[in-house]
Amino acid sequence: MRHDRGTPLSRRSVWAAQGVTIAGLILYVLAVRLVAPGLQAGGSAAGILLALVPVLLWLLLFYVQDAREPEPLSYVLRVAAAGAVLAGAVAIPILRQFSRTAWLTAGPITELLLSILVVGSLQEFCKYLAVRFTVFESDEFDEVADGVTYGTAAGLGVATMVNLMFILDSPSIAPVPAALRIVVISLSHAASGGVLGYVLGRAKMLGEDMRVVWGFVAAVVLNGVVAYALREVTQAGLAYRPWNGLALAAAVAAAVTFVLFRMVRPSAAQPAA
Amino acid sequence: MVTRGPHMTNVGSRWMRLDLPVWVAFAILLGIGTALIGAVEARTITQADPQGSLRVAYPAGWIATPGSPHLLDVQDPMSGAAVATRLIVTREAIGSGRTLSEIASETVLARAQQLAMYRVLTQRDLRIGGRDALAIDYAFVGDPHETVLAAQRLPAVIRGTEVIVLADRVAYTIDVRAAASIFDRERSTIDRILRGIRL
Repeated sequence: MRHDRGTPLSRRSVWAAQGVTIAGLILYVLAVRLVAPGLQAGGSAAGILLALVPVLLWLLLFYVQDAREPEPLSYVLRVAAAGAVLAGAVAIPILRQFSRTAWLTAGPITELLLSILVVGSLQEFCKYLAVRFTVFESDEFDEVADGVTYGTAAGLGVATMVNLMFILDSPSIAPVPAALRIVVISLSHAASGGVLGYVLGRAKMLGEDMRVVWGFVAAVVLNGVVAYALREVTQAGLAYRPWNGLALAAAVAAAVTFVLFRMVRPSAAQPAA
Repeated sequence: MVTRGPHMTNVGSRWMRLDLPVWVAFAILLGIGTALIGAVEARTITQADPQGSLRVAYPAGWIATPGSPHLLDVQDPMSGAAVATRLIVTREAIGSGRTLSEIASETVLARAQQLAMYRVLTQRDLRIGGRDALAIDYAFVGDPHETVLAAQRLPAVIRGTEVIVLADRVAYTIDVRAAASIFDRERSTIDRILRGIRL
């Protein structure tokens, strides 16, 4: 039975890909910063390219690392596309109806609660739908670790659409701040998507359906808390400090990857339901 | 070979055990969040004319525009557009016998000289604070100062509604303007400000 084959020992590459992607995205920002003096502020085309790099980099690294038994590219792309479409069609239009000013001036606790209850729940629900109604019932979804992969893909899909909307709403893009913002959003969405994918993986392979709701709530809380914390660490009075956001997002993504890696290991030893 | 457990064969059962709790949790979280947003967005600050009867309420997060000579000049620091959504209230003492339409005509002429590409879109009668008033919907081209992450600042189209209302021997103008790109989204806030005017 394929799902008994020893996750993650045979799929250590999945986790290596996750880790290398985090490092790769940091290197990507540093590279943009290195060449930034030679770049002029660009329009939408350059911005769209910047926004697509994280998901493309992840896909590339994932398939290089996971060459032994990769998930079908069409499945991963389908999940990422579903996440992007749901975010663009549902989450972003709803969130745009709300005035962020009122949130940001309502005090830190209220702002944190709104970040969790509204932003987190909408975005994580999109990721849940993207995984649940595309690949979840597929035979290719045959390991708990696959849930992490597909959850990460859904997270990157949502992040890509959020970043594209940011680019299209801006008349001109300064490369370094834009790349920083894009990478930070991608890392944070990939992290919470990984958590959600993990519980979906356990539901699929171990029959722990009832635990999915708690995983969903955990992903919502993680999404909201990280989004709030990112705003806090990047603002110092009137100064904007985006590098603090990159450090925080990378730390969260690395921590989540490590924790999920540790959690998947014992689950692999359990028999399937 | 793929093993199919009982959980993979019973779609209805899976929906009840897996999906329904998630959908319910999502509905509860979003419902609480939406209620909280309603409470937060309803918070306002009320300013009164110390020499008159006008009272205007605006969203609590808006901040005063520095150096403004007007009776009230506040703006939304987080409009998310090239220019901040802004509320400007002015008062002008008027002589007896001047009508609302006369003052509106003078206002339009003055704005056409002050604002680039100023255009009146519509003009309509309405009631503000229990008194007859006149609303001028307009547009002009402005200079954005608040563009986020934009190295190149293109002029922005700004839309607004300027309401003129007379109270005793004072003409008040209540001018609410926003970037055209977000004007429709801001309309509920503009309408709420206008509905909240007391005389």
